[in-house]
Amino acid sequence: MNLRDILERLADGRRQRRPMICAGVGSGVTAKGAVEGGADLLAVYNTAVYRIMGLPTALAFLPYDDANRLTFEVLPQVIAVAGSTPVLAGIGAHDPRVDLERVLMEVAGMRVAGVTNEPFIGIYSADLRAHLEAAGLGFGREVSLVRQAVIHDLLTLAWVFDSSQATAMVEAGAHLLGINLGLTTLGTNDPNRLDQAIQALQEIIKAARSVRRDVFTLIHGGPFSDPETVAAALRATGADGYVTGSTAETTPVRSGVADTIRRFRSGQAQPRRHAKNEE
Amino acid sequence: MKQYARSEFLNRLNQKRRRGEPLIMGGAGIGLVAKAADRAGIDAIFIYNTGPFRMDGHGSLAGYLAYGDSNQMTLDLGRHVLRVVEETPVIGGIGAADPYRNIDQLLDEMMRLGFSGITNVPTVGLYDGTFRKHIDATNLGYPEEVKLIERCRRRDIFTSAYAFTPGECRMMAEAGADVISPHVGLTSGGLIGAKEVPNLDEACEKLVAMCEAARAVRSDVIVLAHGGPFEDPTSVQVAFDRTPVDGYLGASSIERLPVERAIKNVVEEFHALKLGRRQPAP
Repeated sequence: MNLRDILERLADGRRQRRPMICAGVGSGVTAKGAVEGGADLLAVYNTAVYRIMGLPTALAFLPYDDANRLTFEVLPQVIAVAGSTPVLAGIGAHDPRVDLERVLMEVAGMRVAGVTNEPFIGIYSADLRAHLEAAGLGFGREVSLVRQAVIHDLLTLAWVFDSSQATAMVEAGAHLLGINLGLTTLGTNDPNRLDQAIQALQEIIKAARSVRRDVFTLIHGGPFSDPETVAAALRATGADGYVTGSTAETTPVRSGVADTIRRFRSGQAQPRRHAKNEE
Repeated sequence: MKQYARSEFLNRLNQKRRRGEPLIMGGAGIGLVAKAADRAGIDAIFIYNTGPFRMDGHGSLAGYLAYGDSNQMTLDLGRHVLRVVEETPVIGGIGAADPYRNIDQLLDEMMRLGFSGITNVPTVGLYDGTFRKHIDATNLGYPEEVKLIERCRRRDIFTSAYAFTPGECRMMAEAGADVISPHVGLTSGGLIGAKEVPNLDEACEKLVAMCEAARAVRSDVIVLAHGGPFEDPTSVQVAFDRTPVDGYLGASSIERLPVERAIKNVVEEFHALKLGRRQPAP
């Protein structure tokens, strides 16, 4: 499917007021589950790869692997099961040894619909981001990635953390914005935090739409950790959808496996007790 | 290559301290820099993953993003550097949050290669804010670096620790670090230096506070100035005049800046030469 068809399909969903779901996946099996559940898009990036390995996702922002190598290792498994669901590749744009144009050519050579700027430096403090920017390793490289990908007719999901990043990415031509409210905090039901998060989203969405009215806006992270809070946030902000994280990958996998093991265990325990009684 | 036991290493440094001479240590991201520093009589050579980025002409900060296995980079660099260093103890960096390696096995490997000491690089001290709080709380942060230093001390391996606050200086002194380098920010200067750094007055004040915090725990701990505006002999002299440090640990200032300057000057000198008389080109 080419870029125009994908965008048309996504716009159809929006007209039917169906929330767009982009599933962040780190393995073939979770990609398969997401496709069966009807995900509109799949995205592969290093945070997802870490969590599926049972490792903390914060490693995605520490120097223990080459983020792009991780993505390219897992991409083929996901593409193999994606069917007609478009796949996005998470590309870390900051590696000074890497020419972005060459990475994009490599991506374009695979059956990939587009790219997303993950890992992103938006996760770090403003101070460190300023230092990175001064060293040529900053958000500017992420904007270049999106701008060049658009030229190559690749679908782009741009992760942003605030209004100025959102504006820059929409100006660069990003088709979808992933509005990231930081690391997902599971089990937070503090209404103040929810209100603050919704307000932050509203501001960012307003800034993005003032540049291009039809940009797709997806929310992610912060206190949005289950379908109910996400639905409430979508209603309150008018955002077009949600990018799933651990919420639709590690959390259901772990609880599903744990429940199944418990059921097997409880089934096994009984005959043993009987056997003992008979002795 | 000479490998030093912790006591030998400390003796070398303490003899100089008793003579009132400053200790000078520096980073090396390529073998040639290590070799030159060794022949010049530097007191220790530090190698870690930011070095190769720096010496490839990129910002050192690239070593703090997810574009490589930092501990593997240090092991690889060690193989280059240890071969060309004759007298100087070499200290290697360990990223303490490595998800794939057992730290004791990594220490075994580094000692087998010939390292004489360990330092906490890449250090999470460069991250701050929410991200830092998150990693400190999830076994990926500074507490792991303190444990690394403790572990080395139990194994009688020499250590040098980067610390960024008086509290971290105290923790590292308690953990048994032989050297503490209070980090006053990224180094300024040159083609790819940090743009915003504290001025000399602020940096000296910070340095004094961190020195005092470390020495309140162990009065004999060696403290070295590092980073921020301390980028050349003139600015480091100010640190020596105004703070009770024992010396200086330079990374960019001992390899990147001198190489940038020297190459520029020699190319300009060559360009300034005049060609001899010759037949005009056809």
